[in-house]
Amino acid sequence: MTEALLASAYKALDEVMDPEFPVSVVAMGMIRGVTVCGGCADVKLTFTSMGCPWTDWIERDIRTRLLAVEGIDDVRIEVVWDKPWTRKDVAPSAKIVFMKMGISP
Amino acid sequence: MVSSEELKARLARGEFVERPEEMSEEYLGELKKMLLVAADTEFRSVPMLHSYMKVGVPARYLKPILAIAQDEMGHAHINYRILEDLGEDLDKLLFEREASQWAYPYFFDMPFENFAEVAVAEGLGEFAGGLLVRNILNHTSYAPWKRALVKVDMEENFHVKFGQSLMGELAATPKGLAELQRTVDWMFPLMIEFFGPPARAVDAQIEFKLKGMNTDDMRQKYLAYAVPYCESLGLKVPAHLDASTNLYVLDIPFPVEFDVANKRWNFDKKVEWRDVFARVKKRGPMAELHLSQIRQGWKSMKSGSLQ
Repeated sequence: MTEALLASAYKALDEVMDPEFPVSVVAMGMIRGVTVCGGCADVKLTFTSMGCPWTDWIERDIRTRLLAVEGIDDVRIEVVWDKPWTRKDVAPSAKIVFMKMGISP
Repeated sequence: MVSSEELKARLARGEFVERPEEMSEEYLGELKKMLLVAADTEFRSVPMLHSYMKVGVPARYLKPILAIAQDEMGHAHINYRILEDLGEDLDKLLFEREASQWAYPYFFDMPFENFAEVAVAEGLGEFAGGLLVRNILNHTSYAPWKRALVKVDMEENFHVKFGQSLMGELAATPKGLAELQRTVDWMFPLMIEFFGPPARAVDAQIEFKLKGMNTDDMRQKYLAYAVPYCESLGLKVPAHLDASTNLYVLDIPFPVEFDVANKRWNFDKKVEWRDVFARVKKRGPMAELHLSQIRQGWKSMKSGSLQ
């Protein structure tokens, strides 16, 4: 795994937006780990709740965006729940977006 | 309360209205009319969304549809709550009005029979609803409403994206595309109609800066989205861009008679707007059932049988 490819993967993930808010899945704190090995990106992903209705949607967007990165030709997503997502996982930049929308981050 | 002239002078300086004491009678009346249309449109979409569950929508979309229903209920709550703050009785508004007294798009009252109808209702209908929200959010002089609509607008945008993904999925196969076309043929003119008759020369709601766009502006905005979007999927819609005016022009008589029972338009029978209003006031086939579902839920909750 090269550092450059890993950085590209993170940059790509930072362009995958939460379906409902203009905040990336990275800034939402939903990405729990990424490795890239032999052209395959392994992503550990969590959701903001187990009942999240948009899980398929988010996984599809992550897969599509990562496959567009040069050097990545396979994506494996593992959904993890330990530790559970909380509001503390939201990045400070995203909290500002939420506050502008009238939502308590 | 102040006079409308005093209020308009304030609004001309770019000031906002925060409290009822700052309003004129006329302003309050127009604001309530707009709030009721916005609230009813959000609320009455929920029984329609509920009806989607029975028409063969792929299971992976059922949870998102429930989430959208929850969003719409939240948006309705915001608008009704403001009406309540302005002195309206919510129980009466929600549970005691007759079907003809509600104000929401006619296609909510149509029976949904397949996945393609769900996809078009979401992909094209949500955009029309979103325009209604943005016309208020971007222009309204009533500050509490403007603040509340920031979140609403964000969520409506997402509903459009969701609907587009359903339409895109169907358009990928010839069979799905044909189903979408059949749906667009009857649903698209209903959405164009939703924005109302041609704009009046004087519109009190615009004069009070409660909204920015008139009915013609809204219809053009809608067509500028819907026509290229439908064409990009390979769907034909009865409107085109006139290059000389840069405005969209309808290729059908408008308004025109709608054959409700058969979901088709009688293009040889042009009607007047009063005929459209009469049909809308009578409400469509599902209106009474949807209203009874709302009332039944209320009765169950009041009697304690709904946990």
